[in-house]
Amino acid sequence: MKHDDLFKQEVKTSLDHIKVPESIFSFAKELPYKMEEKPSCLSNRSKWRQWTTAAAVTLAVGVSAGTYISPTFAAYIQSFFTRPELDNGLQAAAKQGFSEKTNAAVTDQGITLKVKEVMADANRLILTYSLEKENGGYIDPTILFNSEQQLLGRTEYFVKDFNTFYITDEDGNIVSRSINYMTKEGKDVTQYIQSVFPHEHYADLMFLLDADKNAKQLFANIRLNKIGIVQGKWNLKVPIHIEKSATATKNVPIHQRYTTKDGISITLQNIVHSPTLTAVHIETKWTETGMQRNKMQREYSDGNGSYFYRPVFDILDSKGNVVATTESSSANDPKRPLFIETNSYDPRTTTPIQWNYSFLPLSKGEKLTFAFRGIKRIEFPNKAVTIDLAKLKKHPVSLSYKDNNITIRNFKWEKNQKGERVGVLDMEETTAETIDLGVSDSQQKQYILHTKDPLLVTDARYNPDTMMYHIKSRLEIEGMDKAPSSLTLTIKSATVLYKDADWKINIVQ
Amino acid sequence: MNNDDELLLKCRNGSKEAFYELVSPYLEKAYRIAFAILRSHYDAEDAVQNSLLETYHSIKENREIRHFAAWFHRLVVHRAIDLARKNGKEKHHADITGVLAFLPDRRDLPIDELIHKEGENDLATCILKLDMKYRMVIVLHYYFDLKISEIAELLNIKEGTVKSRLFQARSLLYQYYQKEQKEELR
Repeated sequence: MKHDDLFKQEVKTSLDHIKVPESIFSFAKELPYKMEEKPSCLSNRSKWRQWTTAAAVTLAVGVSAGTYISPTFAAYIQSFFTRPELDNGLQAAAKQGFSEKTNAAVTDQGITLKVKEVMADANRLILTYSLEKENGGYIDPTILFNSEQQLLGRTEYFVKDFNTFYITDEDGNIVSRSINYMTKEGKDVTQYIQSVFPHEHYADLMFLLDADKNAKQLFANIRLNKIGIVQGKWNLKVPIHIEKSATATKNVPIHQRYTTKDGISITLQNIVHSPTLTAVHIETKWTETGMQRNKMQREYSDGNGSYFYRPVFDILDSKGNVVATTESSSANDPKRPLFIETNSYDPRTTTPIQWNYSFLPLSKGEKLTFAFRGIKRIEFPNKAVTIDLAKLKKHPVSLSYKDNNITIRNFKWEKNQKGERVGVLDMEETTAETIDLGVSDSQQKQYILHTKDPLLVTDARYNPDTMMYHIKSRLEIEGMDKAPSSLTLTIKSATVLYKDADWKINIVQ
Repeated sequence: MNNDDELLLKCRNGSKEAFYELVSPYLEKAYRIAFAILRSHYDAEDAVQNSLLETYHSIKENREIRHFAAWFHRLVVHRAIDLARKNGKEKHHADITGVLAFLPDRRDLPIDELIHKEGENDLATCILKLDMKYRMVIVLHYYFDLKISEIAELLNIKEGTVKSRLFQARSLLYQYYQKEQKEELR
């Protein structure tokens, strides 16, 4: 064999070692379905992704980011998980002795990965790890992640360098729930880690588990290929004893069904009380009547046969107080009870959707009531209004769709964060959740709008009685270099709330 | 009709599963080509995803596709190159400029030594260290099996330039290898 052929062979063998992410395969698998769903949106963000991403972002606010705690204070606490910045479920479980210290460690390239403490129950698992150098110094544990700043100073962490973190059961099955994120740069990230909480030299990794899998034994798996710029191999499989938390976990089967006025069949499956969380499992499915109605109402579909909805409910205590809800009393309220929601949503199929809602632990002994409040669905009205910019200040312009309403009060020129001159509209909106707007001028030129950018939101209030948000914000109109005489504003989609308070279930504990 | 042609036909007739069956055997290589060119997992993912979108459109629009695997991989190369040009973020490896000036002027560099002593992953690391213009020709010629003339056409450069870049790329790989050997002995 010629030396050039040998070299070719070596190059092939060597490049064939490059790891290929699963996301490529998932993308290829889902592509034909997504293309039918909304062909024009794939290069940007498809509607269902916006919906699920928005849900993930808004509903995860209850998880507070880690903050610095002093070494003095750290010395006082017996468990990492009793830190006040963690949620009450974790703190309470740690104080009840459900956590365990470990000495699991692996060293390569002079860096030691150590897992210091773990705690798990049927619903979730949290572990604390550190990265230590040979000289005893510490490496910032978040070096393993890319990060992005989110609302309220929260930081979101995304796995990188093909480092992997997941939880398995006694048979090697992965029991941690995977989470999909869309980063601000528009990258899709799939990982098993729900949250990362850095603290001093350590970081906690939190995973949500599939409680229905009834794992008898859990293992936390960490496989690192790269720490910063250092390549190496740090593999750890840490066993976690869950007998104690399993004994303290109670599954309350319910299996009661209700059909909404919209024609959605909803089954409350069960509630699982574990030391760190209470999880509510719901299944929804379109009935034949519901699907028929969907097909008759043009605005229900995104134009490609996709329908977007989610159920809304509260859980009440014996005195009728709301102790858990899918809705927020305020977007800025860090104590709101809904902790996390995951679902198996596919807007195109009529197969049942599994919804898993996790709340901070509810009382196991007390009489609780599940109170259904209705359905929120995204509708696509394509309703437009033309704005005369010269008259706008004296004559604000409004546009409504069902209970959603927007009022444009002013237009002015400002500089955006990049220092570019942009047109800005002052807007007030009343919405059940979101309104997606489009804007064009008299020449039909479409502009890009930056709506509800958290930095530009001036005021947002939630009315728990009407279940509507009232938001004052400013819309940046990108790419407009001179003011047109008029603009056409279109409600492309809006979240509509269909109240339906006829279904209540007493939860027999 | 081979299996790919059958799957292409099924795709055109509306089978969604057939699309995945058709592309999945070629995704690993596609991704590796893109990664080796772009040196970024995110960008490589983008390049492959863009190619998949384009493939899907081409199939649905009944465009003629012969030899699907080669067609698809070539598309990925195009998209990776597009992305690399668009990003314009390619950083020159610190050593390259200095090393080039001191390359021996001969064609029989001891590349065999590199082949036999270099570990597989170390060779990949060395390839990835190369500047874009060298890395590209190495990947296209040795990994993607393109001829010199095909690379010249693809990159819109002269065949002589491709040859010269291949020579320089091999030389640089050897230089990197020697440098790492010295560092290991220290």
